[in-house]
Amino acid sequence: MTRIKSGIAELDQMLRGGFMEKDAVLLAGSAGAGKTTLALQYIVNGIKLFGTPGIYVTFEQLPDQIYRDANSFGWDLRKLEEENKLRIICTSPDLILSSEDGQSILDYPIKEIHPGRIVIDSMSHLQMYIGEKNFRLEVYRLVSQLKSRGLSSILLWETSQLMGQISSISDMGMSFLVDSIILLKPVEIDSTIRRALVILKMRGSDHDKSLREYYIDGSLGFVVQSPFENFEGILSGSAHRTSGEAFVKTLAAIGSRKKEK
Amino acid sequence: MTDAQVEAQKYLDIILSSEIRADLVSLFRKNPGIIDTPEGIARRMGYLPKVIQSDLDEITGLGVIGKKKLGNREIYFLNHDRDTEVQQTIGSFLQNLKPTP
Repeated sequence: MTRIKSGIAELDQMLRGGFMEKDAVLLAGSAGAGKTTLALQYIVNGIKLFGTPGIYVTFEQLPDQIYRDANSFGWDLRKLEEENKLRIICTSPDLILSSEDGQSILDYPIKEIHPGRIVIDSMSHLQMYIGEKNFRLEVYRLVSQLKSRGLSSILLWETSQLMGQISSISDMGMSFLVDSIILLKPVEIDSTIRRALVILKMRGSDHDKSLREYYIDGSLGFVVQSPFENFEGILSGSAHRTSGEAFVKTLAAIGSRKKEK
Repeated sequence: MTDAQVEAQKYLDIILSSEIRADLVSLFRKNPGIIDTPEGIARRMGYLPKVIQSDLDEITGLGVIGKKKLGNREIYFLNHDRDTEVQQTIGSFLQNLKPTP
């Protein structure tokens, strides 16, 4: 079974080797969670580490801004485009769906560079254009189109809730249409904002079910760390130490007060 | 003036004759991956579509921006080869300009 590696070692371990080929992966998170960084790194690593060209479709952010942000990580996206390994397409959301005569805005870049990976940034914008009534049908059509073209896709989705418990990833049934779901979530622990990544779903494969901390490094990009330990309730928005850990901490506090006396 | 200089002058007259035309060329050059309808382009520039349409048509007439049909929609994109040609023509013209005494 061919695996599509992200190129981020710890994430690929969590995925038991990588995403499944031609799968549609929903990458969900609130604004500023790091979705664009992770998605760009997926494309850039695909090109640099595995020789797979990619397409990045953006509906809102201009390519100029994406070039600038990528440069801060040392990724020269303009050069990759000149080398015909990358295309950054900036378009209106409804144009990404194929027209009545079967034409698609992706036809030409796919023919030009023969990509194996694609990112759609973001499905939330697509929903604004299509409306709730037809959204599920059109997403199904889009996902089918991408798979039929042999593309392993990451679809970005902006969750509306910044902090606290998330009751559902989307109200539009997106969770059922995709093969995998990764959630990025800022969490408050000990009065500090930290970032948590969890794989909520992965069709056809086992995956790591732990909540991992991640951060974005200026030169490395997206970095996944070890699981959160000794805390529970992180995703609910009320992170607290486990009872065992709280007991140990209390004992240590009593001990240090005795020493001071 | 040579034919090339006349042509360069014509390009400059078209592109610089309005702020919107200059902004359009700048937008597509900085963001060569834009493939969009007039409504989408106008939105990215902060205008209503009817405000930019005639200027968009002029730049399309110059060939720097290409146009094609996608279903029943018209979409616009940067015509890389033609844009490079126009830039080179204008570049040569400007390099050969001598200051007037």
